Amino acid sequence: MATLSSSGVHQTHLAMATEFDIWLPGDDLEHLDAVATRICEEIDRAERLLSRFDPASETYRINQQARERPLALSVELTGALRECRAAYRWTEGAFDVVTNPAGDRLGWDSIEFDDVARTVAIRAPSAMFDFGAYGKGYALDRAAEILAQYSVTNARLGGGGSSWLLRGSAARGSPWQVKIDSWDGAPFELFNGALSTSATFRGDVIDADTRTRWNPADARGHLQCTVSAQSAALAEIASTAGLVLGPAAVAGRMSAWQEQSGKRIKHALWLWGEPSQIHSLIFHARSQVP
Amino acid sequence: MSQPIKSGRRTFLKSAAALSAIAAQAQLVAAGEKEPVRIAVVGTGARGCDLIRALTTIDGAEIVGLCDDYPPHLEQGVKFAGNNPRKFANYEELLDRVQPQAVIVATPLYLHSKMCLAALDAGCAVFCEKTMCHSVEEARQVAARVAEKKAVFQVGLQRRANAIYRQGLAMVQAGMLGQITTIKAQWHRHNSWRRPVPVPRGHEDYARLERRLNWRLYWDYSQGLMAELASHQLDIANWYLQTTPRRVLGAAGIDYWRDGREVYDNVFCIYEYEVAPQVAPTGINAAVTGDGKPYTARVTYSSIQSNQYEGASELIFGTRGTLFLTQKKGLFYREAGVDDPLWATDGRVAKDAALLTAGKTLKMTNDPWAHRGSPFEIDAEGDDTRDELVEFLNCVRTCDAQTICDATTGLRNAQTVLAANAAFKSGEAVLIDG
Repeated sequence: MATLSSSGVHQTHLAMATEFDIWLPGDDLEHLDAVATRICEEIDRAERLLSRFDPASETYRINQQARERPLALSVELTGALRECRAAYRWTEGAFDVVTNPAGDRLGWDSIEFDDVARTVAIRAPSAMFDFGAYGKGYALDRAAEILAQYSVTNARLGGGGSSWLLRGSAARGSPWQVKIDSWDGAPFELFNGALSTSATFRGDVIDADTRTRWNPADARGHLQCTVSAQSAALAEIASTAGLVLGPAAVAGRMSAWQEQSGKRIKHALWLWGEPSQIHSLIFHARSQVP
Repeated sequence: MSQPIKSGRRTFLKSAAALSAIAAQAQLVAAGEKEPVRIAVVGTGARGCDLIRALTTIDGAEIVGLCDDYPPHLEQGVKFAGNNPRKFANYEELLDRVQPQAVIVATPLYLHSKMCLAALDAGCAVFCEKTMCHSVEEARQVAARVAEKKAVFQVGLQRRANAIYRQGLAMVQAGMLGQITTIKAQWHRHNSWRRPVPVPRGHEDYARLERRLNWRLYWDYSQGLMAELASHQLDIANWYLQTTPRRVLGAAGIDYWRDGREVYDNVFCIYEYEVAPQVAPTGINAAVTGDGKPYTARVTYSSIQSNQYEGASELIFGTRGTLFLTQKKGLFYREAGVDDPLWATDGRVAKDAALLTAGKTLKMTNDPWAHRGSPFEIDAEGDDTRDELVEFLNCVRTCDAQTICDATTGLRNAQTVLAANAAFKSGEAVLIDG
């Protein structure tokens, strides 16, 4: 249910095991309330497409049945898989939605995906699709389409605090102020864009060497990669891959990623160390997004 | 004290497995055929696109044409169909030029009957979204035409394809609930049900588009909450009680969303059913039914739009237990203090003996729901929208007019829900023609 105030409509919505936060500043409250409800429906629809936990979702059906024979895919899931496979390639496997129940990244060799015929078959016994945080980014991008469809120019859409999609401006035409948690730097300003943070903690890093390809010797508890990009899904892909590859590798690949993804990756911000003792900062964290 | 749970649960799971096997087999029939079924979808709004997306995942379903008179919806449908189907703004033109085998009607309610009739006259199988028609008279006309043509016709009441609801029905028919005396169903939400309009308020097309996109809010096009939401849940009541109600009384109003809409945002009603006695099962559920005489069962229904606490669910109250049903989860609670049937006692009946044990002390609790005990859980996989389409296409392939929700069922459902609207408007109880 939305909260209507004199300055806009605020609504929270539980989906994808997280809380989406919708803030639409403006005067036409009836219109904005209806748009907020449409956004919630669209988020739910994205969950029914991508969730590996919902027994009614298309992804669940693929994970259960595509080992037996190639299955027909919807146009939409075909598009999502196509984007994820491309990202797997341009991140050199660092972003991978093909996993097993233990969370290991298995790569696309175990998948037969025909994006023209729109079919998929899973050839490895334990392989499955787990879209993870990409699902949140995908949902936010679909929400952005709803905003455009109904001429809502100013919006702040959040997914669980680690994903934001910003449009237009906050109240009175001022840009959105972005403050990154765990970093004592000044907030920076953003008008249009998406942000994603991928983070992990000491226990995860030590136990998950198969996921990270760098030795975070300086890490003392907190690792975080924040990316600003043109789309929320791309921000999720890049922040996930950044966390896996490490800051040096990300620095060398930024322009190539941008070229290969066909979309703009605006920022990459790296934090590691104890939350109160951030050791290093890379890229344009303090600059305003062009 | 009995030890009922494990034995009973195994019994449920066996039944559930049997149902799953039936569903899987049904899908194979569709997949095994070579020639695709050529399908047209009329109405490509939100629900039409749900159906289009589901169709694209079904082997042997080919979308050959789409129709909508609102271009943004038509383009959305084309995007999801993916195979560049032919596009039309006029459904008669579509029928004439594409000549599909099957037509999906997912338009606003007031258009259902004339589009169904045109498709039936064109020799097509028809899948019509619920509610079947805007009026009972229209529904009768469609049902008569279906019978005359011996056509394949299915109404989109997708709980009929949902494994949880099928399992619940199997449990009712097996006598596990005993005599069903009451059903309580509701669909409570907290939103305006209003669709946004893509032009500003002052725009010359605003009023026209507002009524076009918010057709659910106006009586000329819609029958409100009863047709759009209650139809699903009252179909469960008709299905489980194996009859239609005799009478309905209720009250409704526009109590919260006073925004110019015409349909109610708050409906409460009570249906009365004259239920035939259930044939007493002779197996493991023997002696669980009533006195063998017809009896009255009551079904309460409510739908509100200002509080979502209870969500959408149905409670089936029987003398031996209670079924809580949703599309994703079913729960069965045994009624405390009644004789255990054999399925609940591992086959052991020892009323003529006393078993002395070390005894046990029950933990005291202030849980207000402690009397319910622990439920049996019913889970299922699958998307019932997709599954209902799989079943429809199987009937199309095999020319089987006995769909899972045929025109007669759709007519009875329409009579049930529309009678409540009549009761709300008149303020009096309304008799329902059986």
